[in-house]
Amino acid sequence: MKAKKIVSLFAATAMVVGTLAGCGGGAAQPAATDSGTPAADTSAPAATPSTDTASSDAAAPAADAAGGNDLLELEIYDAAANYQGLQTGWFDKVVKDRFNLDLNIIAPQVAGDAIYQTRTSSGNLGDIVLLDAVDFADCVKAGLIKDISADISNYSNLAGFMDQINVYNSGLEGNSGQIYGIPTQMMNSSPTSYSQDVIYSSPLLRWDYYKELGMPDIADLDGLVDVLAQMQAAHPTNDAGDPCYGVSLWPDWDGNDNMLGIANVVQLTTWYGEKIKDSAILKADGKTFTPITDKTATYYKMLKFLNKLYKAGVVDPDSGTQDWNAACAKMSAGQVNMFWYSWQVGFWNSQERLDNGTAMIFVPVGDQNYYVDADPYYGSGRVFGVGAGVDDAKYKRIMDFLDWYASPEGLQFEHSGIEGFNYEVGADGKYTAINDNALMDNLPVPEEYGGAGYNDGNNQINEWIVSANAINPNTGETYAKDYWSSWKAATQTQMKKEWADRFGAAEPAEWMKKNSKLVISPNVTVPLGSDTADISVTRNQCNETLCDYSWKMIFAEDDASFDAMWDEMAATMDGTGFQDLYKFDCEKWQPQIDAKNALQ
Amino acid sequence: MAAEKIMNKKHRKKQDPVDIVMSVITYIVYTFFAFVCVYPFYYIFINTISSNDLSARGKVTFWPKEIHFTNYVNVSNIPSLMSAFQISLARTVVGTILTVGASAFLGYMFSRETMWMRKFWYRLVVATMYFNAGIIPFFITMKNIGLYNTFWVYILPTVVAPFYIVLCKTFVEAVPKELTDAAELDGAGTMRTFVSVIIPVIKPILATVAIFSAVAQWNSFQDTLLLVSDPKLFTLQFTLYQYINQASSLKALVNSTGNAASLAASLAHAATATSIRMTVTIVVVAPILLVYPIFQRYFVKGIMIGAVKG
Amino acid sequence: MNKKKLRGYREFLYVLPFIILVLIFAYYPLYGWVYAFYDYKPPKPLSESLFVGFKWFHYMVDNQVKRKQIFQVMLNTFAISGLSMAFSWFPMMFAVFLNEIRNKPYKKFVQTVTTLPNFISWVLVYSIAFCVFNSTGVVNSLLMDFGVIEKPIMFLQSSKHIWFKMWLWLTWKNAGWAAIMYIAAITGIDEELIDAAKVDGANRWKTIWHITIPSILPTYLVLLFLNMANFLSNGMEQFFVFQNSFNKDYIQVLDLYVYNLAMGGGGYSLATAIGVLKSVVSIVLLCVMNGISKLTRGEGFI
Repeated sequence: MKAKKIVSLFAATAMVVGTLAGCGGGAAQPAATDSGTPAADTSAPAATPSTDTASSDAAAPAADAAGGNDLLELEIYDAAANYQGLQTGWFDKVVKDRFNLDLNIIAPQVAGDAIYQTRTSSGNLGDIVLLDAVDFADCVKAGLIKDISADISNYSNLAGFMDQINVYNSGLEGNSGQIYGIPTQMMNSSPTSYSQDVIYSSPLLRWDYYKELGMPDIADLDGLVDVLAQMQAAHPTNDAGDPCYGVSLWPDWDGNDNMLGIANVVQLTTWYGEKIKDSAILKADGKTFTPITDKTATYYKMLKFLNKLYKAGVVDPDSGTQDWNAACAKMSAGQVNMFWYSWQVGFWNSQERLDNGTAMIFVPVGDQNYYVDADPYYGSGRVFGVGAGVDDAKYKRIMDFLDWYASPEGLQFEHSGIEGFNYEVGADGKYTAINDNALMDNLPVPEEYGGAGYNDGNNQINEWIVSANAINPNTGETYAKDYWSSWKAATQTQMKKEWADRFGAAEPAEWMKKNSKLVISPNVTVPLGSDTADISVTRNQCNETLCDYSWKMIFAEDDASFDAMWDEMAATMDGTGFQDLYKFDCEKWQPQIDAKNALQ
Repeated sequence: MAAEKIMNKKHRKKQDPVDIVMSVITYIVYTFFAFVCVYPFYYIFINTISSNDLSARGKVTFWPKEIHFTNYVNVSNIPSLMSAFQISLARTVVGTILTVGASAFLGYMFSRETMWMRKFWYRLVVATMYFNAGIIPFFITMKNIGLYNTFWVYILPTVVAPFYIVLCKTFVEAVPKELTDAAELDGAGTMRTFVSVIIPVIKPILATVAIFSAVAQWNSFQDTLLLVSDPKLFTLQFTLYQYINQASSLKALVNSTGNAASLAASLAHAATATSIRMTVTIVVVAPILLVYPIFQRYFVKGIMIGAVKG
Repeated sequence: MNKKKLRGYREFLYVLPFIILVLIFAYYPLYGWVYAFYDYKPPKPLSESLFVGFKWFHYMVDNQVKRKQIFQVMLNTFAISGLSMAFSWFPMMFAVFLNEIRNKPYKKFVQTVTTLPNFISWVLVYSIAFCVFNSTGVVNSLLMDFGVIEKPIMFLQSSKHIWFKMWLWLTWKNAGWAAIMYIAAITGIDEELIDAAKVDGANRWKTIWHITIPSILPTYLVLLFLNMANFLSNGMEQFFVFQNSFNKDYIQVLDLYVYNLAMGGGGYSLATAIGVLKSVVSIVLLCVMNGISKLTRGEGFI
């Protein structure tokens, strides 16, 4: 009995040692250590049902992609996804029917930075890789991305965007003609036009409240403060009796996505034609930079605007402590009188509210001049690539899939949905949307299309090679239903007519173009230099300082303390290396500016 | 049970005035503390079954309003929830058994002064509590020894848990020396002494370690996040964590898409992220609360060391 | 004599498999500490990164502004750790008095529900705190209805008593859970001792003071010492969810500060360097604590 135990102990020990020695091989079956530990004693090791099978299945490497069309799992490292795991539902069926592929999505947005760090350190990010441009360039340099130059021209749908793909790849550092990446959301319009009806950020006001005030002309920001103050005086609460505010802000987006400072303020700066590129502000001329700490630039101006709003008593007092979800709850409860992101209307505007005139809509402010990025002809900033480690058979299937992903058929699934479920084809070949609440209400999809809820089965890659606003050759209209003639006719309302009468244009963007109030910045996807370790830390530190002081400034009681805080902030930022950061950022963005100007 | 009652009666002679005052204060304080702990949980629960709209606006504070169960239905509709549950259960059972066994055994072994270089090995283990190598080397190590994407990645790294070993060792050391000496005089070896003498006496702390490690196993999702990409091995916690994240991290969508209508729809869908988080909390805690009383059994009755001593 | 030695070796062999596990999972990855000496930023491999020596170790103190920041951060860290050390007896006393409750169902009820907060994630804790304490939340509504205040108080923005408030939240979340260990310890007390005391006519207070507490004191002290060695680590989740621009000066503890700086990959080397420093400090503290323990109790705890 005892001897047996000791023998098993030795065996176990040897196995553990073997595991250690076998580093790199990955050959040692870890199951061996199982018998080792409890052999040491006591507790019942017996009751371990069914888990062994699961683990041995998993241990088999997924890379045995030998045969022609066997079911194959592709790992997609996907910077855009907010879902991790296997694609399921109707889109899974679409892909399986055509390619017999399982899409296993690795989502850094779910997993956090750590997964990028660990996967890159092991040399294999995924079979298909989707990254932001900066990271993509880094990964090409680190040898994690496959060179696809030899084959891409054989894929007709991808080859249709050869011009754009070449422009992107030629910008990669030290690249001599190879092709690694495929930009996302490309269009075939032009890099200097803007074809949507609304822009990303502009002042959006409650139409009925604005009408009550007699639809006054608003000359400048002070006028806007007045209007918001009057609105709030007239309507201190919503219908349910909760307090209303002019604006409600949230801090949990601060300092992300190529911006320094409060995310809300950063967006507001585009109202005066300027655009924040990290620590630098690109002036309205589209050529010169100024530091974000410049008192004459828009970050200061818009911060001051918010402070004026605060002093007028129309800023939600919880702005500095609530998260995005709490802010959204207020938007959808009608507690906020001004929006400034185009997506915010999604929380309030419904067909019913558009009909009865209580929806939010753009109201121009006289001295403003709105910055907008042009159509993403050259792509929107993210890039698709193929992992360096894939073998030939897998490579071919990946390219087949990507080519389809950029084909009209693929795009119809990605952007328009399922024929017969999301849209119907009319006699003229044009589409009419049906079940347009499919996504919102997660409508059940019929079994023949793959079953499950529509939203659950939606394409989880969440990024597209071709934009939803590109033209579908089958219909001559966009892929997205928002611009279908049938959709426009169905959503025309009294309120839109009133708006058109008041401002003399059918849509906000049209008004801006007509009155030369739109600064269209040519859209190019240029590989950008990535932060060094130093700059990265400096950036975080400066951003923290900037955000903390900015929030305090919004709630400053008077101009003197506002300016005192600004100066203190600038000094602190300089002390943590802001000047280096600013210099770095100017150099980082210069190639993009040059490319933009070359197009104009 | 009956014996217990008699015992209690025996103690209940005359109440000392100090005892009475102490009792009253104790009851007041504990009732207050219990309320402070229960209310948030009650709050979470009523919010999960009230209209999400009212809940998001903070309108549900004392009793549920517009009761519905769609939140729970939604959670139960998450694909492959069952397999995730099985994995979670398996890792909790296997992991807890191994961790408890190893902690008890090591706690005992490290208290035996006869062991070769005992102090050194013990300190070697305890010191790891204060080390953190960082995720990259840990990840690479796991990959190199072949644990990446296997079930055992959940188990093996947690088997030797210094904190529990310290706890067990403290308990083992409180066991009167005569007990083990007597056993050894009877000819019991190191192992036999451990099984037949030590284990019964340190049961309460083993129950504690079991609770701690079971809950840690049950709640863990970080390891899945970093070290597992095979959906077959996803745990319940991880699946639910994903579900929450899916609803709350829509920033990418906002920044990337040009398709305003679908965007708006997804956003409206996402506004209930807090409800989802609350629902998930209830779903995760419920099984723990069901199992907890089983462990509590080990705390109720005192150990009669005298009885063991015989 | 020889037999004893042999036995020592055999006992070592029993624990060897576990030692090997520790070596693999805890010691072998420590080679990763070399990252602290490089300008490392993924995905660039370490071999191509620049060796920078001890740069990251003194990064936090290399100019006046940063020194000022780190001083405040250390102050917060010490204050919050100090508070939790000073009140570390709380879970123990919680368990001791809980044990005195004679009503079994009530005792079980309290014991169960006080562990509940431990299962609520900090993110959710903040959501609840926000619902209760925001400008239109329950507390402000009540205070305004009773006319105590005219303008809502911004509880979550204020940095007044923030260290104490953080301690309160932590205690609320952890006390019931940590008490489990002490409940186990109390259960382990030999009933004969208590019975003997009762026969001697000791009241409950005296029994607690002379029997219960001394019996569980070793557990308490060991845990206290272990925690003290961890003085610099407060964790960061709690402070991360409660931080905002208005209270950050006083809430930012070392872990949170490093997290805020090291976000986004570029700070990996810095975070590693701070991690190394913290480990060193902890090990030194551990030795000091052990020394103190030897001096005062006559035996070390490790």
